[in-house]
Amino acid sequence: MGFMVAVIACAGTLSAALTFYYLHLGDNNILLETTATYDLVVQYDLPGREIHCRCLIPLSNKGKQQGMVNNVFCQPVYCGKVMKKLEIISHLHLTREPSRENGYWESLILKTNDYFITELEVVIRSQVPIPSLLQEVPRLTILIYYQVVGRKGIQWRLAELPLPLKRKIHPRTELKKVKGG
Amino acid sequence: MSVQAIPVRTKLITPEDDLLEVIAISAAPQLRKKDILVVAETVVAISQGRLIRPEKIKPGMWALLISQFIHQDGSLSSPFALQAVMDEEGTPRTVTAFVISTLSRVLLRRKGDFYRLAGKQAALVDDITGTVPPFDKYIVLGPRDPEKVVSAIKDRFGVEAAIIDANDLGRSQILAATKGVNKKLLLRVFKKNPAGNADEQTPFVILRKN
Repeated sequence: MGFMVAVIACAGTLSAALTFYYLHLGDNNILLETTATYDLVVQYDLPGREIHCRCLIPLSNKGKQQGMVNNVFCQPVYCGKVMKKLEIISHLHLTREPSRENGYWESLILKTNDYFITELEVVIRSQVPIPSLLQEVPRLTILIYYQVVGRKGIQWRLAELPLPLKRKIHPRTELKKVKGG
Repeated sequence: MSVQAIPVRTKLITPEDDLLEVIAISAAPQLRKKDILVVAETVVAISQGRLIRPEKIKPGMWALLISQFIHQDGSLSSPFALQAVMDEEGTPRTVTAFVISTLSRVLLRRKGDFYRLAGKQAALVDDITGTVPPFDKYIVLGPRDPEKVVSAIKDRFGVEAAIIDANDLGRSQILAATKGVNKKLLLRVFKKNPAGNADEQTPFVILRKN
C-alpha cells in the first residue's frame, strides 16, 4: 500500500513538473503586423487600366518559441458589382528575395524576437476606366491568411489590410530594426 | 592523389520519378569507370514518396512532450516531425531513447544519445523549411532501404555508389555505400558539401580520382 502511494505520488509530481515546464516554455507569437505597414505606393497605368500597389509589412515573432510560416494566401475583398469587372492579383514575399511570379511562399523559420520585412504586391486590372473605378472603389481590403507551425501545433492566422487606392504615399512608421531588407 | 567532385544538376525530382531513370538521363552520360556516384539522401527519400504534410499528422502526448526538450534548431523540436519519426520507429523506442538520453546527459554529461537510440529516422528526418520548394511544405523522412538503392545503381551503371546526408555544417553521414567506396575519402570530400545545401538542385555528385 505504501509502495503504491509512493509510486502515485512520484508520478503525480513528475506529471505536474512536466506540465509546468510545458506551459512555462510558451509558444511562438508570429504576427504579420499590418498596423505597422509602411511605404505604400500606388501607381496608375491609365491606358492599360491597371493599378499597381505595394507596401511593406513587418513579420515578427515576439513569442518565447520559434515558429514557421508555412503557407500564405492573399484574398482581396470588396463588395460591389464592379468587382466582377476586376482582376486582382495579390501576393506577399520577403523583401530579401525576389517575388515569384506564381506568388509561391517559401516556408520560413522565425526565431524568437526575429523579424523580416515582407512586401505585399497587388495588381488590379480593370475593365472600366481607372478614374471611374477609383470613384467606386476608393479602398480595397486585402485579407492575408498565414499558417504558423510551431511546437504547440498549427494555427491559421488572419491579417487584414485596408489598401487606400487613392492615396499615393502612406505615412512611414519607424522601425527599430530592419532585417531582410 | 586528388579527387574531383563533379556536381550534376538535374530537373526537380519528385515522387513521380524513378531515381534510376533520372540518373540515366542526367548523370550516366558523364560517368566513367572507377567513378563513384554519390546521391543525396533527400532526393532518394523524395523519389520514394517519403513526404508527409504536417497537417496530416496529429502529434500525440509523447511527441508534444518530448519535442519540447529538443533544441529548437533540430527537426525533432517540431512535434509533427517527431510524431512522423515515432510512427516509423515506434513510440516505445522513442520514449525509451528519450529517458536514457536524459539520464546519460544529466549523469554522464554525454550528448547525442537520443539520436543514436531513437532509430535512423530520428537523425534523417527534415522538418518543413528543410528542403527545396515545393517540398518545403513537407516533412521529409529518411530513405527506405538505401542499401538496395546503391546496389541497384551499381548493377545498372557499373560504378560504385553511395547515399549521403551532407550539409554545410560539415557533418556528413553515409547511409549506404557499395563495397568499393572508400568511406573516409567520401566523408573528407563532403566536408565542404560540393552538392550545396540550398536550392542548387545538384543531388548527384560524381567523384573522380585524378
